[in-house]
Amino acid sequence: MKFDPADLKTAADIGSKKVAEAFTRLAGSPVMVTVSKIDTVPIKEALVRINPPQGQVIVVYAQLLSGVKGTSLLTLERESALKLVDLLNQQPVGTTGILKDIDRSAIKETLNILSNSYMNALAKEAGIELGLAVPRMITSGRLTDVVGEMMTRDLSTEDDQVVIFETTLTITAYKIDTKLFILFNEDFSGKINESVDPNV
Amino acid sequence: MADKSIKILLADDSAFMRKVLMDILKEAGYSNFVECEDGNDCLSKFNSEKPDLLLLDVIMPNKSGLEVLKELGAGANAIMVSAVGQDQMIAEAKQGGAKDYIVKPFKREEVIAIVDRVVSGI
Repeated sequence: MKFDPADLKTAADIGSKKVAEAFTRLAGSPVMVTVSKIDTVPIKEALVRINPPQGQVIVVYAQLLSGVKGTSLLTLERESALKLVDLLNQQPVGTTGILKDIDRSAIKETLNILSNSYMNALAKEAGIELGLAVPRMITSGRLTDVVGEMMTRDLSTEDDQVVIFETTLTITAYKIDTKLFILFNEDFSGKINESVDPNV
Repeated sequence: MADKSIKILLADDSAFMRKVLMDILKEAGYSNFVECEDGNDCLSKFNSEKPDLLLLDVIMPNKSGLEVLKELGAGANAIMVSAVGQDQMIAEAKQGGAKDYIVKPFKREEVIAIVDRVVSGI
């Protein structure tokens, strides 16, 4: 699917702002957008961007089911996740030491709310209607495996160009950084979904 | 004046979001809650528990909130609570009989005001 680059840029700028507003309200602490990008790039470049860094990283994803097919991903380091859970639960930062089911639910709901804030802006500014599936957690190792598998394939045609939105959000007061990606690629979306336990 | 003794069914696949909504409504004086986490569970609990008010998420496993609303109709006294804020979705929900539509993330006062208003009209 082809998009008007100017429309996408406007939508990305407004989308990032809306996401920051939503995150600020959720976390109860000011959130800054430190990176906001919209690019059309070869799929391999997009995969490199979403591949999480080494170490303990929490990854939540949701498939885009209606409209344009793709995936929304939220990644954050474990330390950031623990602090974020405390903010979401309105308790002192440092309270949570391990992620319980309700904490994982909070992080998944964060992806749901942030992605939809972005998508609401995309629908309004660029006329792109998107529908999100139920968010799921995936280990960073599993995500790396999916990325690695796709990287080894021959992805060199023009059809393998993908649109990727990338937003980095920072809660400066607590040194919480999180990245939100929206990747328009049906193939990746299918692969990541096949790779996870449907009950997670 | 809203009757705070009514039974409220909270339908959301996110345990965290159910807890947030329950905490807000408890603060506002409501105390009778039933919870469910997917569309089928919602229909089943609705029939067995006969709630006076339904707070209904849109994106849920098995059956979406809109599908649930279509089956239950306006008599369910449903308030949609969803992160999906696209105009088309809100219009569809209201046409399907939703009493109101709250977009996440919401303000506590907004939730209480809307629930109180809908409950007052029951």
